[in-house]
Amino acid sequence: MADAESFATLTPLHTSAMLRVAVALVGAADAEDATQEAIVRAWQAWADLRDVESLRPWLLRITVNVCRQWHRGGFGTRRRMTARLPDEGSEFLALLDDDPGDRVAALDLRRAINQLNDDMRLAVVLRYYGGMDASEIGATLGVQPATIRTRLRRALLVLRQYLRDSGEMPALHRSEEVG
Amino acid sequence: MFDDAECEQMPLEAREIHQRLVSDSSHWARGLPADTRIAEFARTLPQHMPVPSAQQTRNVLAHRRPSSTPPDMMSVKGQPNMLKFEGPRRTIAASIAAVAVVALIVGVLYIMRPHSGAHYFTIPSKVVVSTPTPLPQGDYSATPGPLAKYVSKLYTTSDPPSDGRSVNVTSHFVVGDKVYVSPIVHGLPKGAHTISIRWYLNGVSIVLPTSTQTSMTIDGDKRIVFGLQYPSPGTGMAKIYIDRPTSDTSESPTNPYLAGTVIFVVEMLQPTQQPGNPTPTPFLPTATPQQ
Repeated sequence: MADAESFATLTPLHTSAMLRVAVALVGAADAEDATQEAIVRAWQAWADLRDVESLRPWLLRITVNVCRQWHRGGFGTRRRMTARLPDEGSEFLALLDDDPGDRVAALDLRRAINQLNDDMRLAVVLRYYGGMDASEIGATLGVQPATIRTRLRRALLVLRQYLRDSGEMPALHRSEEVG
Repeated sequence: MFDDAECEQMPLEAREIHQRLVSDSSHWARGLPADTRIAEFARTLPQHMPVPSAQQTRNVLAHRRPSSTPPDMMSVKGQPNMLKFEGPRRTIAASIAAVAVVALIVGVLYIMRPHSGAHYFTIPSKVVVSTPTPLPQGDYSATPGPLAKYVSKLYTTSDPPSDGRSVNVTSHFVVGDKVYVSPIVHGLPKGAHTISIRWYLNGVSIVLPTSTQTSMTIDGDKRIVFGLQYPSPGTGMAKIYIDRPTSDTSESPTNPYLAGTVIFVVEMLQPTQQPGNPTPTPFLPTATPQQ
């Protein structure tokens, strides 16, 4: 299969995952541009892809790298790895249930995620919102999957503590009482 | 994407957060934009963008330097191309270049450094520099050297001495005048001795034609006359040596062969003062020995 034909056939199978990761990392406004940039880079580097079986993590790695560069300032300063998840006035929240309680809970959760440090935040966003498992995240970030799982566990505990301190996690209190 | 096994591996206190994240992300994912345009973009990209070269590929994903020599940096024989610097070779070359640049700068600064003397230019090998002492007004006496006891009447005159006629002793001349130095040498040990003179203008030794007589051999007490026409204004100076070897180049006032030094001034010709003075002749110095 020629390079052009294989690229045109295989890459569209993963553009959905690439776009989802991009939305999670840079937000909906820039996600499409970032994904297109990642696709262009993938095509330019297509000759380096040795194993078609590893195409998905390879494309996601390029996407994450593009999104990380997306957040770097023009003067070399480095911003947070991930864009703040949409928490207010977002079109995505409009698709949530009409229950006001769920809406408020979602806002609280996303505020808590944005309080995490970069490593934990990136792991949580890629795992839950980017749709990547620990192995894919590890391959993308160049760390062991076990390390990603550890970060995820710690991140969940930090989120729990944050929500408890802000008095917005009554459900957890009930769970603990049950446990 | 999320299975029960994963949830069961979570610590108990983290499970509810996990469930909330799963629930929230599923809601969030419902609003993801469609990827139809992105997929179409990926399908048609190869038609619009030419097949990238290997070099372009490396530029795109070159987050790290290659651990081995890339194929296009190999010669046709499979050996690394020595003309291209990569990795440690580039580091070594850069270090050598940096040292060379620093050495070059230091060398230039060394050459350009201020000299202890007053001269920043190269003086011809035949020209010897000597610093004249200021000329005292009305003082015609010479500065004695180590051999001063063998010389008397060391001064400059505007005409050569002759028997029965007084000489005009002066230290002020005008351009074109002939300056005479006529010391009397006496008391030297028996045997032949060479009396020599060296002329200076503004502290720089004047290189005279080889035909010009600047030395005289005597074997007893004698008066020797040297004369030189100065074509340029400035501070003149004449040094008298006794038996000075040709290898001696010392300009020190304590030179053991130095009998004395006489200093004078050569000024510009003033037409109003000397209306009949002829045009200065070309610089053809002459030395007139006289016994």
